[in-house]
Amino acid sequence: MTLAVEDAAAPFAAFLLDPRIGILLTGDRSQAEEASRALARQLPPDAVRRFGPADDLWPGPPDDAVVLLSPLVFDDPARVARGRRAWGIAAVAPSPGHAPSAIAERCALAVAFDPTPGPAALESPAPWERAAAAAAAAAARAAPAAAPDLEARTAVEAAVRFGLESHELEYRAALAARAAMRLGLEPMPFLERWVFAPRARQAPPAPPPPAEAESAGEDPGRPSNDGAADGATSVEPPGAWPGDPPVTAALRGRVRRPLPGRRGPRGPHPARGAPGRTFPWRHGERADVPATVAYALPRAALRGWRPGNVLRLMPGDLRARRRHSKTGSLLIIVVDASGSMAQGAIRQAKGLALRVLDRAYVDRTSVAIVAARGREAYLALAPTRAIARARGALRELPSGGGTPLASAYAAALRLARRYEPAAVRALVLSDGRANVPLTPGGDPQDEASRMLAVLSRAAQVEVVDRRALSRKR
Amino acid sequence: MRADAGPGEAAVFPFSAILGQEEMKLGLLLNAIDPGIGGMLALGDRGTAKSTTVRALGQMLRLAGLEMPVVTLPLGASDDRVLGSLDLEAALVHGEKRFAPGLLAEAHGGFLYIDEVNLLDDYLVDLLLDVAASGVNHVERDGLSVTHAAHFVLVGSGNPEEGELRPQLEDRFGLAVHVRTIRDADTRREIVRRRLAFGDDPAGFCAAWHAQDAALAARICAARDRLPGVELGPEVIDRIVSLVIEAGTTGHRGEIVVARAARAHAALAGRTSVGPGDIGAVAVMALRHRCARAPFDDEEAIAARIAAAVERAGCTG
Repeated sequence: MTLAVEDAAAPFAAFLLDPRIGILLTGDRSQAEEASRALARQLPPDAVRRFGPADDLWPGPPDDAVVLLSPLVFDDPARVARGRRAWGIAAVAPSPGHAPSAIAERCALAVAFDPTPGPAALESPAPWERAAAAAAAAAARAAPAAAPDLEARTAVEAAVRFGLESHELEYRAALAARAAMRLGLEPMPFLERWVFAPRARQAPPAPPPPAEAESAGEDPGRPSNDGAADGATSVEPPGAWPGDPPVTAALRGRVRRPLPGRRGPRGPHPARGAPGRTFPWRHGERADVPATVAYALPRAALRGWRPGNVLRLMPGDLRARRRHSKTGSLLIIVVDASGSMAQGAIRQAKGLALRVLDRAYVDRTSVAIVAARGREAYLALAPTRAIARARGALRELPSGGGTPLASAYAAALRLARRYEPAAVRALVLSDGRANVPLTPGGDPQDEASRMLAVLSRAAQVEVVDRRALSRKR
Repeated sequence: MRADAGPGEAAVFPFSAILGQEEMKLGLLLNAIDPGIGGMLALGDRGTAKSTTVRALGQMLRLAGLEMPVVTLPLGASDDRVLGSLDLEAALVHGEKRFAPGLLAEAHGGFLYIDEVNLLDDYLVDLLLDVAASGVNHVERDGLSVTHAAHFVLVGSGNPEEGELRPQLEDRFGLAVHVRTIRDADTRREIVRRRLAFGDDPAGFCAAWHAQDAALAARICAARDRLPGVELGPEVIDRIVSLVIEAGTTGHRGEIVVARAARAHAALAGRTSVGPGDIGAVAVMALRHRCARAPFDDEEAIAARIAAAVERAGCTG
């Protein structure tokens, strides 16, 4: 049987023919998961492994397996790093932009399922069944002479045309071109339809080059609710699952999503982080095997155990180990308390900051306060979880003097760099009228906006200006 | 580029077949010649053959009988696995408290490679850098007290977009290279073509590149033998010091790393004394992560500044 390029079965057939190509199943989640299960059924059972957030990281799936990747691992850098080593990947995601780029570029094929159930969902036989038949037929035919030059040329040409250059994606696309030819399909239209077009939709066709977008920065006086000053635009991809955070689509079609490695408050952690002391195991804890055995040996000897016999562990022998993750999240409040802020505006800014502090208390976030006033900004409060101290520091903040905004952003940047960008929020309360330069003879406004652009790469920046403050009250 | 082996095989992409990324390859070779350079940090775009290059290095060195194992430290590896821990089997069966060596012991005499070092737990990175610098691993846990030699070259790679490395850690890697996606379409096509060829027939592909890998391995061996005799004259040291001052680096590690790397570079080129050209060739990778950074500097600006310092110090050779 032969397939057309447009046939929904075509990408499945290509994947079954060579799982190294990789496939992203996007759009309607239930259909995508159904397709993932169905593809797994068409492959030899011992060649397929599932990999989810609760599966053991070590040793993890074998390197020669086809891995069905759960979207729940996308937030875990260690699991992403482990999963991407798979020989072939089938991943479910709301859109190509939701998968970390390490995974998305290893899944050349991208199939979107329409959320409105139509006749396609009820098709019989289902696309993957037809795909299996087509793949089997193609595999049974003698393989055509390899044409690596043609495959490589097609893949690179398409990638350049769509502005999606990536060595990894191009390699997988070349494999897809080969599979398409074995299925009797034209490689270029196949790559356009199933590899590059679904990704290109994630980004505007003619984005501005990153350098310009960065140097333009953001006008600090303009209210902004996203810190995407590095030229990225916030795009809600079609078919996002409810409650998903919006995806930051970066330039040149590369959908970039920083892995939120250490987001959120994290004190003790059962499995990761610096090891601390051991303590008697309690129900629900994770037992630490070496600690348990080390503790049990002398006790077992007292009970009459001799080397060479089976060591019997008693419940009281079990030990668990406390672990700590150092970094939590940080909220940096940059308060402009200069003379240019009218008394009312400063009061409003402080009021808003106090409300944000209450929220930080609930979230167990650390807070730091940078005061922008005088000749140089200063750290009014070093990072702390003592919200009461933060409130006090904020209330007692003196006002008057110049507005060294660039200096304030530089101080915030020094703090932010200790954390993952995703774990830092910087709230800037200012009228944006910088008038003290960072470097002698510098332009205060220009320096402030450039420094803000740098800061917004290290933190999620929110700028609230006076007008916005007046609206809030 | 990742080495793709078919099911059941574990072939490694040949080092000589890796296109581009010359700076990273040179940095690894210099470390193979003189492990005292202190490792390397490779930051940059993903999918630029960082892991493949490091793995390929171990295989290439083996061709000349140089046993420098390349051990990969996976993200999420437990500290038991990294440092070594109580040998459970010996404890359970024989009742002996014995030490089961970890990845640090495995990497002894070779390379320890951490992909995505910027995502590794901070405490583990601190610990690894400590062991790498001292060459000794102390384990005091689970009732064990063990000390073993652990001389290895620490190589870290990562994509800074996904999390920055703390600046105080950067400085402790001997060299730092910056890897970028190659823009030239012809080169990109050739990269895809070689990967396809490797994926189709790993054994045949490796055989085709064997001679080139073996020749390079022999050069490394010869350079290692030559290294102790490579002369570093007082006027060369003066030049290194003036270069480091011109480049405005912080700390004294810069001079030492430039000197060692330049010496290894001369040995690799088959010379018996270090010339100004050797200094110029290694200056950027030895100093880029030690330069004082102005707030708006990017990688290119720093590299240009060091190149200008090389010019002023008369190290262009």
